[in-house]
Amino acid sequence: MPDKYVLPPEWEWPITIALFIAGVASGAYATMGLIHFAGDKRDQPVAWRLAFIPLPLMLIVPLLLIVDLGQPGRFLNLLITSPGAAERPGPLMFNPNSPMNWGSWAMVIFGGFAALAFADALHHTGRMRLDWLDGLSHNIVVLAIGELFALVVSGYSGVLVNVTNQGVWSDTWLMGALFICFSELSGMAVALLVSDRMGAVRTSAALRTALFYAAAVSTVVLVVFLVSLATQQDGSLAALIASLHEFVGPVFWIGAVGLALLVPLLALGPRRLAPMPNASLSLIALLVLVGVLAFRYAVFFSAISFVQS
Amino acid sequence: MDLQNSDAIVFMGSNMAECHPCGFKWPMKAKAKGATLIHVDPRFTRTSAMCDTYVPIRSGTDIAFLGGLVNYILTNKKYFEDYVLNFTNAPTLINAGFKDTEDNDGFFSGFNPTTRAYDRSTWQYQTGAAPARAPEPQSNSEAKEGQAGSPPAPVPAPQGQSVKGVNFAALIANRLPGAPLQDKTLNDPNTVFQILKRHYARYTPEMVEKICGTPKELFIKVADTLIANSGRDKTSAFVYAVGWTQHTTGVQLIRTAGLVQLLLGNIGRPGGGIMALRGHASIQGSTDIPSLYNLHPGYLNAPDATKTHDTLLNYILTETQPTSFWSNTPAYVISQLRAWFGDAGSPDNDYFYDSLPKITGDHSHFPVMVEMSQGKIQGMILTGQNPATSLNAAFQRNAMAKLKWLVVLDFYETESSVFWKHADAAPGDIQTEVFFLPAAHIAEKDGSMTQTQRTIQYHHKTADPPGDARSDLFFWYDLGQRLKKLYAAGRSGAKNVDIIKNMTLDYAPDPAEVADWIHKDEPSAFKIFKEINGFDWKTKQPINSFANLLSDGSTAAGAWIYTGQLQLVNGQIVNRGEMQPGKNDGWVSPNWGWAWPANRHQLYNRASADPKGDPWSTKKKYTYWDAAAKTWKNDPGDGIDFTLTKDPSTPANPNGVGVAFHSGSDPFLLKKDGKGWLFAYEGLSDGPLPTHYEPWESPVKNQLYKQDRNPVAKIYDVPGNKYNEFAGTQFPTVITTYRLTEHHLSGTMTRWLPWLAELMPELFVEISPELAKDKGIANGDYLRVITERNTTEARALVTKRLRPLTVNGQVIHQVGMPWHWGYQGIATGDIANNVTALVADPNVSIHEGKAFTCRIEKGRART
Amino acid sequence: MSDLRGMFVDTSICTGCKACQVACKQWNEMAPGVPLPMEDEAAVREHRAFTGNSYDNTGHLSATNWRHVKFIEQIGPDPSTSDRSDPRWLMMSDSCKHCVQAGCLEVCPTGALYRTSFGSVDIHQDVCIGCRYCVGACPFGVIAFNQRTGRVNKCILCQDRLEIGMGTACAKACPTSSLTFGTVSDLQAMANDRVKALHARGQTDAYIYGWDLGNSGTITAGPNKGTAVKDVEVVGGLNVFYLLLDKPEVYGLPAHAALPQRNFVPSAGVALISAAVLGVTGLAAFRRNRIAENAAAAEGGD
Repeated sequence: MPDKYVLPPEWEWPITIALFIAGVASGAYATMGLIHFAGDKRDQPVAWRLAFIPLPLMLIVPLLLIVDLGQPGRFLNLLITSPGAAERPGPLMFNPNSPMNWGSWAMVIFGGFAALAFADALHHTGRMRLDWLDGLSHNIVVLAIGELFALVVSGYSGVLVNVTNQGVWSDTWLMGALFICFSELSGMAVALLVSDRMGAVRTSAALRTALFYAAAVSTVVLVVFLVSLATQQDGSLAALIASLHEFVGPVFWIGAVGLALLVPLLALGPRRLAPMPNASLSLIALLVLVGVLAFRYAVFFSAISFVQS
Repeated sequence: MDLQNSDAIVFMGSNMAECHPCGFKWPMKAKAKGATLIHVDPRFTRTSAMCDTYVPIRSGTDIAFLGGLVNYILTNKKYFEDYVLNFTNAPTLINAGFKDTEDNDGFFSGFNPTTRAYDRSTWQYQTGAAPARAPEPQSNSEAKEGQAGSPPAPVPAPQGQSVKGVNFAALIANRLPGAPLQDKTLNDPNTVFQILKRHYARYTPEMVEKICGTPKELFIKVADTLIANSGRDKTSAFVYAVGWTQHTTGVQLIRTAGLVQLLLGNIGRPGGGIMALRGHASIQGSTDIPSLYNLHPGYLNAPDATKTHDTLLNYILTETQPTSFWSNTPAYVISQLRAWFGDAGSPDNDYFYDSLPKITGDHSHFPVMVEMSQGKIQGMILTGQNPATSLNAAFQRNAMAKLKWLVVLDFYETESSVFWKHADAAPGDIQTEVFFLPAAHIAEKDGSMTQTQRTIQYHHKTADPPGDARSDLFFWYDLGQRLKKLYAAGRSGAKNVDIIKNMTLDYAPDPAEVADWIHKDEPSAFKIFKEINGFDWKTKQPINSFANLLSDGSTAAGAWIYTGQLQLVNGQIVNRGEMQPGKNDGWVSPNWGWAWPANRHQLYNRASADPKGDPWSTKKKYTYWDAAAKTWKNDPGDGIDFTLTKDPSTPANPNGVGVAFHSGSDPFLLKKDGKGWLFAYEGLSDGPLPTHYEPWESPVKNQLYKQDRNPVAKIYDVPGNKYNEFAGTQFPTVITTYRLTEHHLSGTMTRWLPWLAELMPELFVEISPELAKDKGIANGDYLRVITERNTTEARALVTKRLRPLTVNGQVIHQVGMPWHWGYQGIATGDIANNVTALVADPNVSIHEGKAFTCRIEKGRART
Repeated sequence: MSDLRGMFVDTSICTGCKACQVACKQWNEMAPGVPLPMEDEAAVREHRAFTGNSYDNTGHLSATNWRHVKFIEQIGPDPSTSDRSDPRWLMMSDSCKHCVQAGCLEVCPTGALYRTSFGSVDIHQDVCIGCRYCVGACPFGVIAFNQRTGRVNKCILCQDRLEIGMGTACAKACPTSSLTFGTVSDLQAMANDRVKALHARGQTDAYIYGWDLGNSGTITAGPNKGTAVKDVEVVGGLNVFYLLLDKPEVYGLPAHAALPQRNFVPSAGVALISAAVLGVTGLAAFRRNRIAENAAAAEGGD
């Protein structure tokens, strides 16, 4: 057993769902950005539809995170220095050592970008006239900065999980990377779903490839993660196995690995195993989404404490 | 505190770290200075964890172990020769008709199987002729023959039995015995020394292993450690508690340690001695100022109808020991009577002595409960006592069911206050009327405590008790006042009311003391403190020393041993029960509280100097004779336990009364010959020398003698008290009971407190893995402890700290059960004492709760 | 160092009496067991639990157990055999270590956890939002979530007593002075002397956990008999530090405790790299698609 005698923080369903949704939101935004950067005008409609997604999701995420708190009424202490915290400088609360602070601020700011994207979507899908947006939303700098905050939103919780002393979580540097990978997977899956429902064959084709590549990268990251645990002296891999107790194990292997990684790898690869009617792309996207949710579940519900007995 | 000076400490019959955690800091200090600590115990406890060596032993076989030490010391000639020769009765000659247990298959001479008692006449010293007696008028009363083994009958009292005009000094001088005869070469076969050698000849290390189950090497290690740490330059101490007292051989057990310490020259020396750890905050006080049936305050014997106690004079003449500090008994007795009856007493009416009740036999707890079970006792008042969880608890609860009334004073609703919930009879059939009176806690009242070092500390009230709770003092004082009123009003039919009518009870509330508190009718604890201390009857000023107590009625003192706890200094009353401010005390701390007698912390400390008065060594210098100043001195500030100006070269005076009879090198003032008694020719009912007897319930027979068990042990052949078959097969496991730090006694104070209840929430039994495996019991399972009396269930705590022992080739298992649980409180559990029996030591009636037998089975007691 | 306050926990003279646990609860007016109001006797009764774990029925530090005495029975070298030679019973009073580099403090996102002028780590109960990040960050499993109040609790080194010049309640109650309160530099000197005195007596197991004062020794009993031990400083030093007689794991302490922040930059760095890779593969996917499209169009078209 690794050298850990810690108590689990008991982040369970509200956190799992919240971070899944945040991952979808930021991943969708990132994919939207990708389409803007790498796609052409024929892909725009998908991008615009996609842009509707981040804002409503980013409104739900804080609600869930706040509900999980022991003192939900005090959530603003994350952002505004409480008068009781006399030692902190300045009116705004920011502890650079705490990924949770990085994430809180990133989500607030990303929310702004999500709102901008939402407005953009309203404008470009003809629901509202917001001409002033055109210049703003297609400004490459704005988009780049938005991407940056989306990146932080999708990855900070992984870094947060790394910056603890929990078994497995803190025995590796790959959690941030894994969270980013799975967030992007979920975002791309949503994009594929939207694209497929819209019948945008061309965009779907690009997206399916992107999803395939993303799954490949994610698999490599996962393998590196497993190797990084196995190569540690203190038996972290054994801890991983132990942490995948009861329900969590199958959820991880079947859900996170199977659905989120293997399905796109096998189904979306260049060599077609079978003719794929377009409808099945939606199915694959949904399976990937379920797989990403499974991944979140496995991470948070595997937290165990090596308590001296 | 003196334990910090020890070079080696043996904890035996004690779990000091767990049961006296605060006092344990002193052995820890000794350890930090390099002392060796040894724990001899049936279980490896938190005390063992702090010691250098742990030695396992079968519970109840301590006399074999300690007798083995005596044997080892004598065989290897490692005794402290100068000390033994001069300070003990080793050279004293014993009556030639004495027969030892070696001669008599486990009996001493003089045993009467019909009365189950010893006649001690063959145990007496050989003495020279007594000094010539002056003629005295004949007495009207008979000298009673009743007491077995007493010294030759006292010279009958002079005519006119009252004490008026009596010259006590002359009468006492007329009763001087002859001086004991001695052989200083120690070769005479009748010397105590030779008798001792013969008595313990078979207590070899091999025998110790056979009886106690203690590996021989470990036993020898203990012996060698003690020997290496005794003598001129080093001292060793024994520490014991109820693991030694609660046996049918309890008193003798402790005495065996006394033998070892006398042989090694450790008594009366810094870092030496035997530390008796008494448990409760004021349990020492509860025997000093007792509610015991057979003692008056200050360890004066209660008047006894079976002795020559019919008049005050006869009582005094019977009780006073002419040679030893007890020669002052008349002053102590009469001062006590003056305190109790005030001006109503006078020499003409023997200070009201006749009104005192006289005991007629054994009125200790067990016989009382037996009588109660037979419907002979109408009522009982319990102040901080819980018999519903005491030995053979079901028997006691059923006995209480026969009471007409019961009064309970306590903080919580104890098991005894609701005993009727757990008696055999249905509650509806029990006629006892129960009164529960909530009691005030120690912080809610004034008073004093006397702890295990005989140190008296006064404590002050810091809070009002809640609700209706009142102090015990208020209850008894108020009861006394009400009874006085009733009897003064001439309530008919009552016998012997003089005692109540005339007792002074001068404890009326002091307005200054009650000013800050709610209850203005709270009697004055300070007045009692002063009465106990003693004061001049005319001036009412405190007396500073028991040497100033007189037998002419001009002094009053509740308990002579406490005289000095109040002092008159320059016209001011100083309460020595309180810490004296601003004094730098050193390790003896004479200004912290008051150690009776006369603030002497180390008793018999004259023995820390050699016969010439020089310290045995510089390192262990304590009390010594300053020849220039012609006085004894003690640099750390302890009281000198000797006549201050008595030159060590003073010879014994055969015509001297009291300590004048002793020489200047006889440290043991309370003993008739001033010596430490290796051989106790009187005072004990089961033998002059400790002898290994098996506990009343044991899985094995006695390997030394045909007489297996203590022939005079107190046993009770009554329904509901069946004993397990001795050395039978039904109950093969030895069981001992004990205490944990987290709880106190039957848990009446601790199992109601959540912070303590959660630390030890359930009754458990500690059991070795070997026995557990035998019975199919896993850690945490329920198990049953079964005896002929009852079954108790507990959780199993399987631990290697308990171990099977090999006793004479047979594997014997031991288990341990803490006895803190009962059916009341937050943390409840079965009562451990449900399975124990009514069986007791013959000298002081202490119950045998530390060694008995049982059968262990897996599973619950009831579904 | 001279202003820093802390405690030296000398487990070699701990008798396992638990006075420290009770003193802590009394001073801080804590509920017993799980956090329930003390008046709720029935609920309190429910949570009585006999653990069967030696004399330890407390189990673990929690929101209402800020002190926890641990008991480790080593009756012989191998628990599974009947060999009982060199028996010993190790005891240790555990609590917050008030680390010089405190993981809990570093991750707290609201400033509720702060460093006092005495060097201890205290909690602003009016600021804590109950996010429990600190719970996961402490390498010793000390700080814990309080179900009833929704905030976290741990030993706060009796901040209110320190402010009026008193020492900690637990150290005051300890009958053998196994717990000593004082300035950290004084305590380090005391601890060093103590280790050396024990080594001189043959008890070479003793070493300091929390500061490296240069001592080393060998374990003399128990399953790890013969193993070398030496002083170890963890997380920059522990203001509440220990004299131990066996390996830290035996006491439920990590041999290599570390700050969670050790992972921060590497984790973020690796995350950025993988994000970049994903970005590149994403772009590549679209480019590949465009190429394939163009090829198909070229084929399919004129």
